[in-house]
Amino acid sequence: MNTALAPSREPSNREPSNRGHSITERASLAFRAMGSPVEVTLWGDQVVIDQLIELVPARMEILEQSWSRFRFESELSRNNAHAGHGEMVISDDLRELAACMLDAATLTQDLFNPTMSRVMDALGYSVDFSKIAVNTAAATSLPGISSPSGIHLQGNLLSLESGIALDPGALGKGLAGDILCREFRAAGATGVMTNIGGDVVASGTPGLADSKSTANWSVGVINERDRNEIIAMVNTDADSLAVATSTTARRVWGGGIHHVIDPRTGTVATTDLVQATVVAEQGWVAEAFATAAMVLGFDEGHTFLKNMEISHYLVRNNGEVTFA
Amino acid sequence: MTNSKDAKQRNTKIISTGLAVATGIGIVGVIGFRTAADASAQSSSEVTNVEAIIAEVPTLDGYSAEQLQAYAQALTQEAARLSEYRDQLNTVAQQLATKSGGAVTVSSKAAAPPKASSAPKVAPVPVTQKPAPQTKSQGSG
Repeated sequence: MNTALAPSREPSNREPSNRGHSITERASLAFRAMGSPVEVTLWGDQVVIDQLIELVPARMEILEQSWSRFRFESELSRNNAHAGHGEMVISDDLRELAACMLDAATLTQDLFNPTMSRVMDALGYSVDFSKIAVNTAAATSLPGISSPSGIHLQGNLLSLESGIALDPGALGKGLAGDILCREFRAAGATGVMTNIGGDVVASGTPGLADSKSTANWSVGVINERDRNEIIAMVNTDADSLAVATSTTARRVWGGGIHHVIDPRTGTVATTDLVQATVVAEQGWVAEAFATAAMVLGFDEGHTFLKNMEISHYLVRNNGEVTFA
Repeated sequence: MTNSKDAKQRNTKIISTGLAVATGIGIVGVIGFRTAADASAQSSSEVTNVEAIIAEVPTLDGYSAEQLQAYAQALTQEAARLSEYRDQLNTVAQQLATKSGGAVTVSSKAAAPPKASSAPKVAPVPVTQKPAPQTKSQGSG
């Protein structure tokens, strides 16, 4: 993912903006989680955001322990191991992830498929990407693709049909950003921005909640082929914004294997896209459609997203771009 | 947000229900009940044992009773961590509420999943000039 975010009116840490009866400040934290760099910035009352920012790593760890397919003891891994043997009680976090994965499959007409875990394992992507050797070879035959219809979610009960193993892919990072924004806004932050592996989710305003000011979020889209270049900007006055990018230019191993799987063929997608950036109101939605676009390719992806009224910016492998 | 005691009681009930559903009649009595507080006080050596059990390959019948028990324990531990986190969030929210003279509660409810049409109509605008590199840029997949 490759988005850079900078609120257009960004109060300095050292220079509070006093626009009313309270002081707006900013607190930021950078660390690693979910195999990616994470940056979280909060705006609001200094006392509040100083306490809230300290809670971010703990929350990310709880989410990762629930959702990671790279931790054998995670809740998701345990449910994958139990596939075909009845339902299991799951946490609210895993329930939300499973619900979003099912909705993502529906929204994208199954171009996002959350059952790719065994295919990814067979391709060699069975551990955190930082631990994959560059020359890791894929298995000679890949397991068949499962249908999301084999995932049964009822409240906090999850049942996976035999052979299904869930892989949220980057959707988990988008949803994590959504959750952080939702929870920290509810706890009193006036603005929240998360950047998890380049997936940006922003909510609220960098100013005071009770001020008359207009929130302006600006997200720069980085060119994956020249990461010093910003090729597009997303500017909005909306309260919520998510920008996610899927690319074949990164997370490549084994002489050209990439992580975008075409659910229609069950193997690595042969796409002419190097980059699909999607704008949505929530991170998980943006991720799902970015994946769908990568699977479809430049022309079909553009048409699909346009018909779905999803804002996007696509880059073909010859440098051609299209956007809407 | 519900209070901590209620949340812990609810979590305990969920665990017991899950075991009954997953492993059949009678298993609840074998495993018994654990409270969230018990789970959070679990020693690190116990955690290692739990992981060792889970590391076993599931049988053809799925997880064994021991593995399901370990799953339940882990779920209870995570629920306790989440409950603690939510208590901290609520404490911060209450501080702000006291300051501003209002009342605030932090809900743990997830927002309803949006439909595609809820996406903001904000089209990315191509940049014609090459700006300076951004320090916040990230890379992944």
